[in-house]
Amino acid sequence: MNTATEMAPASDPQGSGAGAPVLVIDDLGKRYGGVQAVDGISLVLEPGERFGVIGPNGAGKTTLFKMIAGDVPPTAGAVHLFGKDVTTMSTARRARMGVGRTFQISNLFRDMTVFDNVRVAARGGTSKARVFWMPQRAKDDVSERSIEALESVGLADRRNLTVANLSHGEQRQLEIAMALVGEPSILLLDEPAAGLSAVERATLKSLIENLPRTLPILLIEHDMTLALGLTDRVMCMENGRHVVTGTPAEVRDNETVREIYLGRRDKK
Amino acid sequence: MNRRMLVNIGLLGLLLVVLLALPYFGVSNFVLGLASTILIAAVLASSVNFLGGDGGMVSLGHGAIAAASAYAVGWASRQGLDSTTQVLLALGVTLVVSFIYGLLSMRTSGIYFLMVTLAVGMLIYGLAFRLSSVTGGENGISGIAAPGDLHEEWIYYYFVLGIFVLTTAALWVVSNSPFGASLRGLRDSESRMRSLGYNVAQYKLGAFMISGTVAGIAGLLAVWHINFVSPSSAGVERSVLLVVMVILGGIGTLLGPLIGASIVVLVENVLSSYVDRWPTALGLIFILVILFARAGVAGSVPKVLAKLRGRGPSAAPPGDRSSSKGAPAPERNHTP
Ligand SMILES: Nc1ncnc2c1ncn2[C@@H]1O[C@H](COP(=O)(O)OP(=O)(O)O)[C@@H](O)[C@H]1O
Ligand SMILES: [Mg+2]
Repeated sequence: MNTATEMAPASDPQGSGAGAPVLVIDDLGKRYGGVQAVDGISLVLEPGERFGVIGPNGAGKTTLFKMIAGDVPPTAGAVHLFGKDVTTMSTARRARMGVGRTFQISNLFRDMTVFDNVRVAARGGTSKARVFWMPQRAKDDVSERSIEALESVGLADRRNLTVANLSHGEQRQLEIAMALVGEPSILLLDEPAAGLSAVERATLKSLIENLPRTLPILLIEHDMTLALGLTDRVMCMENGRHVVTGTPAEVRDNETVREIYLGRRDKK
Repeated sequence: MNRRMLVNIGLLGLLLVVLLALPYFGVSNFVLGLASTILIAAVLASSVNFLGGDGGMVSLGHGAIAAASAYAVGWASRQGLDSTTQVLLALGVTLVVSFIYGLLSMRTSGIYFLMVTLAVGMLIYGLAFRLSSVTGGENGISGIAAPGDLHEEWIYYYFVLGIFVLTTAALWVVSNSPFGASLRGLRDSESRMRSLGYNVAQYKLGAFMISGTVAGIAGLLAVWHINFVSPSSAGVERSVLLVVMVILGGIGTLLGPLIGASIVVLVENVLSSYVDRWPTALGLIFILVILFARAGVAGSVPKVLAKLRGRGPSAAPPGDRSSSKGAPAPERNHTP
């Protein structure tokens, strides 16, 4: 972790001891009118762990993700981050606690340059973002860290383009740079490879693989191969419910998962 | 990129020289007064432009903020208070009114923001009528004199020009600061800003306070200029005209407010002596700009020039991977 950044959140702000889980989800549920989008999901993310959530479209992955990030309040259960109950905490406060995240549909500042997108991300949740008397494009530590983040996702040479001029794949890379520049203590990725070509997918896969091993990652992905190749443990969901949790190999060989992904042709 | 910056600075310098030299051209007091009216309208429009261009918050309440400030000056002047007290009172009222606006609107955006500012503006308009012991009711307050030598038309012109340059420069600095970038972030995606840890409402309130303060300064300049304030200065039409100025001139541009204010004030004051239907004329101009130059005058002229030179942004295809540089993006459309 870069010591030059005073706002890098501690991964254990409550002092609840090293090795405590980063994220604990307890019997979480979300009901939209008549639709039970998420139903009794529990999971524990250990420090440094890469955890995948897979499932078909409509399984409730994004809804689960949004409840962890704070966009959507659950109708049942609780979310704990870094040992603290955050179930009713706002998205912004969770971000300031150290949650970095990407959006399934790219959510960028379209009329700003790539560089400025990352700068705004870098200043997120700090008093630096409120400075109104200095030029924001100064050669300061914010710009420095922004360049580093852009280099880490391979976008440094595209930094002066507006977002609208980026390819879809580059926009996904920028999403990740913006999540990383705040030096998060947990990274939440919602279908980072959605809509990417095979080549772009490979780029993104190696990008995620090469992230620091100390950074815990929760990866939501429809594409099973990608999710299984990137994570230590995987949970499969269907219709809002938990199907199975295990190592990538266990989940790949699981009968129910095969039925879900291969169209139930093995069903007797 | 650097050449373009030099050209811009050169044009700005030229404009400033012309504005400074205007009283020496032997123009009449009527023309000087008109120039002051334009500059005051430009200060007011720049406050709307800042909030709308950077923050994406289009306000229909800024005319009423300026009017509240003007009423504070009028009331103080009627009490026989000196000009320093008038200024302080105007600033105080402006800050309180802007804070109320900000509190009520900071959790809204887009059309809802517009509606809230419209509603608060109408409330101020109503108060101007009803609180007649303070505001003079329907008749308003007259005989509000500018202090010292400022009642001289050419001296007042320089005073207004100085304040116009200062407020424009101040808003430019804010716009190019981290705070300005945060506002543009809010404009483009509030959900993203929240997920980055930004307290969205706080930034909107801050932006409104800055913008409202500039509007209040314009109100003070206006009331010392026309020596009079009445409920009509708080009317919705004034605020609508401000938005028209901003869009005509080019929202989010540095000189858009001045260009828009020039068009509207000239149509209102000059054309109106030849044609009764000056609002129709203004409406036609507005429609033409929306149809053929959506970016407004200041936003469209550089694009047209670039196209004429054949090296517009469209010269590099978006997302072109074969060349390392595509369309360079200016920090803002800060083209004069
Ligand atoms: N805002 C919402 N309002 C109503 N229903 C929703 C909403 N968001 C998601 N749903 C429903 O919840 C279920 C799960 O959706 P989602 O979490 O997006 O699944 P996934 O990301 O796994 O594809 C779907 O049936 C979807 O229609
Ligand atoms: Mg989804």
